Amino acid sequence: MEILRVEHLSKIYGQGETAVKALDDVSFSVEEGQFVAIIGPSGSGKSTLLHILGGVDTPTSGKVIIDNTDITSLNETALAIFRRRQIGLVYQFYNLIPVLNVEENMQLPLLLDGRKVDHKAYANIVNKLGLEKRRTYLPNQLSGGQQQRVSIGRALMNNPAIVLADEPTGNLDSKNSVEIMGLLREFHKELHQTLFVITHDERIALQADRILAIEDGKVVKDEVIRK
Amino acid sequence: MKVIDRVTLQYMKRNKGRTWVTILGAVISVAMLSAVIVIVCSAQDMLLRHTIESGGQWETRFFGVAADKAAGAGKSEEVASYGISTVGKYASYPGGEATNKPYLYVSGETNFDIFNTQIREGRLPQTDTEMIVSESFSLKNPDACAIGSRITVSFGRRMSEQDGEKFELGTNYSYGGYDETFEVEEQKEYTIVGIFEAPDKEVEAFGAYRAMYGLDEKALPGNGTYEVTVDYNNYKRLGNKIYTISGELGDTLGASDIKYNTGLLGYLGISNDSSFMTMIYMLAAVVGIIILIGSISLIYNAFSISIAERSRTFGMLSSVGATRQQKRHSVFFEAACVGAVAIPLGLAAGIAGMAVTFKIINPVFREWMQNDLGLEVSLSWGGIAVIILFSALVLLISAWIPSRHASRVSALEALRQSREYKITAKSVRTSKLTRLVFGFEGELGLKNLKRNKSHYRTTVFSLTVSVLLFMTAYTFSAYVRKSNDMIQAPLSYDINVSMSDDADSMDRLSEELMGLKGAGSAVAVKKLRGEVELPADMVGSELAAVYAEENGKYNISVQLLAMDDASLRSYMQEQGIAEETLSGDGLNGILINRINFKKGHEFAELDLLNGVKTGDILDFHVTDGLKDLAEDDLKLAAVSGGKTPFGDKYVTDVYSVQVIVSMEALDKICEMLPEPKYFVTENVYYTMGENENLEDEIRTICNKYRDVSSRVNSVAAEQKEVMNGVIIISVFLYGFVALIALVSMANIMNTISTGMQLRRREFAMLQSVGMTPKGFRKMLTMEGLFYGIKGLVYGLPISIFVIWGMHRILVSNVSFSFYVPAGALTGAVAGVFILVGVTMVYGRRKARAGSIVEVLKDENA
Ligand SMILES: Nc1ncnc2c1ncn2[C@@H]1O[C@H](COP(=O)(O)OP(=O)(O)O)[C@@H](O)[C@H]1O
Ligand SMILES: [Mg+2]
Repeated sequence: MEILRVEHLSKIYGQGETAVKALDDVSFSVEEGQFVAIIGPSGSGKSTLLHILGGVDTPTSGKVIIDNTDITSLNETALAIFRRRQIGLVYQFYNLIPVLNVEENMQLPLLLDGRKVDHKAYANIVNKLGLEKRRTYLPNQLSGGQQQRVSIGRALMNNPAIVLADEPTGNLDSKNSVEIMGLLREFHKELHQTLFVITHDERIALQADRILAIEDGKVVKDEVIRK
Repeated sequence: MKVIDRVTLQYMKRNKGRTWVTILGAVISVAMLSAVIVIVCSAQDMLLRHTIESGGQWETRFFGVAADKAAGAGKSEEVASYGISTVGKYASYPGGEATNKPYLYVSGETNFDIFNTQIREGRLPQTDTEMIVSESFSLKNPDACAIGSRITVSFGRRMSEQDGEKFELGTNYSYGGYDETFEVEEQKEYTIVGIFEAPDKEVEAFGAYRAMYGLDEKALPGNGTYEVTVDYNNYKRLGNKIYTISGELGDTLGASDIKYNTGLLGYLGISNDSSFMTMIYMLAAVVGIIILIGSISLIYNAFSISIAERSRTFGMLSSVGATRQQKRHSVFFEAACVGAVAIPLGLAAGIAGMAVTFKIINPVFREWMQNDLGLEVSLSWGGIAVIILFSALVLLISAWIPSRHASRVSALEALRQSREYKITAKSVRTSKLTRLVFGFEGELGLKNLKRNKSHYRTTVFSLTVSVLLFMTAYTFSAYVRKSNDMIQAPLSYDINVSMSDDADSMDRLSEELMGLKGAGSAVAVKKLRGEVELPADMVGSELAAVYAEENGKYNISVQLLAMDDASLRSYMQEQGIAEETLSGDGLNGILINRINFKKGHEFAELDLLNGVKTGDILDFHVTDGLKDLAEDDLKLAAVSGGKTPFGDKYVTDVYSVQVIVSMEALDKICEMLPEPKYFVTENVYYTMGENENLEDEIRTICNKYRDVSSRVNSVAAEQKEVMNGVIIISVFLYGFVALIALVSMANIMNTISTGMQLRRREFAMLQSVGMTPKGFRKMLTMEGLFYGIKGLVYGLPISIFVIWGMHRILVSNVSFSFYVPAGALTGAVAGVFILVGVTMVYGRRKARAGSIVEVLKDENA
């Protein structure tokens, strides 16, 4: 089943002579549960694409249809609600709220939604992330790897349809990188989520079902390597 | 420029908004400091001008100078101008004997300008046979003073005798206090050529009006000594050198004594016996300290914010080898940059502000001070130096602690996002209730407050100070107004003329006053104070409290009142007393026994005497303390209550009993009294009618009766005077409060909006995980609400406590009980929430500027 479709997506920064075409007429669609790796040189438009898919940025033209909803037509509030229910974002920098502890940071989307926390699911995620003993810690008491685990936990807590990760291991050592990717793949399998990962790491890309290569804002290669 | 300075400057340029708020705060601080100094300098300047206007511009006066040496003052290089005077002498004048100023005090002068002698009519005298007399003399003796008329005066000495020994009464012996005779030595005739005014000259000698004749410097009579008065070049700059210069000049002149113009020198700060200036200095010091505290808290805060924002940069700098000194230096450099802009701007703003303020209040101020000098902006170089010095000091102190913090920022802390490393789980804990009541966004808002103790404290402190200042200022002027109203409240007349001294003239004056047209109503009352002896059980408790009991009896003061016929008739009609009640033989009176009494804040009807009834006879006598001067049986023809037709609506003090008698009866007793009749006074009470110049007309009439001491009290004029005072105080008070509030506001704005900016990344993140705009607004509203509530929780009780103290000190308890004006409360609450609200909206705008993505991408956000 198709979960996401992108139609003629373009994003232009600036105007006139200094205009930069970050995305240039990009179209593709993704099946539910697929693990997509996005690769490409620096400045090619990967982050831009991911941000538009996540509803935190808006395209200059084109459509993004997720679960039969065109998210480019939603207003700010509707988009915020869409984000907290359907999207999980993981950044290279963890972007945790410093005044909230590990547990609250992870449950943030649910708290904002005013929803009940599913304690079984939460316990499961915390255990898998290896953060049981750190539940009441504040972000500044955690290592980089641990902070990234919290942000992954946050992205997964609301059981989103799509998880978007922008160079999630870019800031970590190789041991932590391996562990974090392991976790992402494990959750992906277990929760049947659709997963996008931007990476420069060939080994990580090769773990995906499909690789999208982007150059100068265009999709130059779209290869399904695993069914 | 050192690289570290360039980095600092770059940073200041990049954070334009914050830099300007810091500069604005510093400008306001410097401006307030300047305003205080300008007020001090200008008050000093005004008093100086006042002194010069009333006494002339001179610094030193030499006594006992011989005729041939007197002109020597003109040869000194230091002297700008000088005047030679003869020693003043008393002289009697025709028609003076009957008055309380029977003499002229006469001197010869070469230079009238040095005493600022203003000619009102005619011209200055040129020879020693021409004379000018003071305006007050000509007002009382218009006939003798026509320009061109001749006056013969008799110079002599005021002599008195004590224990058989004769002695002379000098200029500082009052007239009438001694048995004195005037021993005439010489008669002289003068032509009156002018009428002058010179306030200081006119009060030189008791019992005399002032007169001066011309003196030729080149033809000084050789016998006798002279007095030389000098004004030095640039006297303001001389400082204490004035004493040495004067000493030298004194030697040259062969002076026997030197006197300094202490008034003038006092306002220059050369001699320091001006209590008024001491008061102004004290006041300035208190206000100055408040300003300094406010300013330091603001600027300190601005610098520590700047340090927090730049911690990454500091970390980076130290990682490439910047020393602690260099990092510290960076903060002081920032302070210097702020100062370089803020001090000149603040100085200019302060001076301009005061110029405008003076312009606005001067009309009221002149009326209040009853002179036409007014305040003019004046600022000495010393004043400017003080302002610059203090401003620099404020910046230095404010930068001190932040600079130490900056020097300690290590590379490691910076890389670990140092600004958050201090947060602990405990410091941001909130109760479960918070989430229930305010929702998750509210809880997040509260946590945000708690995360940064210093921001939180600064904001709450600034709010508290603003609330305190506003409420105190508001209440202060409300209290002053109210006390004024309270003082005037019981009066039932607009103008009161009170007269004493010569009884016959008093009758005539009062008759003429009663004839004035255009008053709403007028009542003439003649009063005679005496006493009656009463047994203790007859004396009411309020009266008994004032007097001492003697052998079971009290000597109670009684005032007999007699009114003009018309007033008496209408009064008796009003009270339902038959017209013929007072017309019987002997002393018949209406006792006003029941009065409306205000004790503390309560009103009560009160009987002054117990068990008195119509027909009772009291033994009334007038005594001088040793013997009875007059005595009569006072028959109570009626016992009444309420107020007299002119009396106060209620009384707060009881010390005598009033009895209304007929005019004839009162006059009969008065005749028994020996002259002068000290115990008889007269009053005329007016209410205002269509004649707006009533007061002036009354004063003109009163001036004509030289042998009556009269006083004109105008309630309206008094009230206006007080109101003028209130207006002037309010202008300064509110101006000052507004400025402090502005500083507080800058402080709060700076703190809150910086807080927002520091959290931009967080806000973006919250939005990216799905916080709606509404939720976002709710979170910030909660933050603002908590700030406002905290500010009021501290500000209101402290203010009320301070106001309570003010009530205790300023307001005597009898006039009104402690209250907090509703306007102060609502103003404070509304003000706080508006202030916080505006700041929050401003902060929200800033926080949401730029898309989520951009903020998240921005490494420095
Ligand atoms: N806010 C912006 N303004 C102007 N140009 C931008 C902005 N954000 C990104 N770009 C440009 O868009 C292009 C794509 O950026 P990005 O998607 O971040 O690339 P990637 O993530 O692949 O490195 C780049 O050339 C970048 O310079
Ligand atoms: Mg990128």
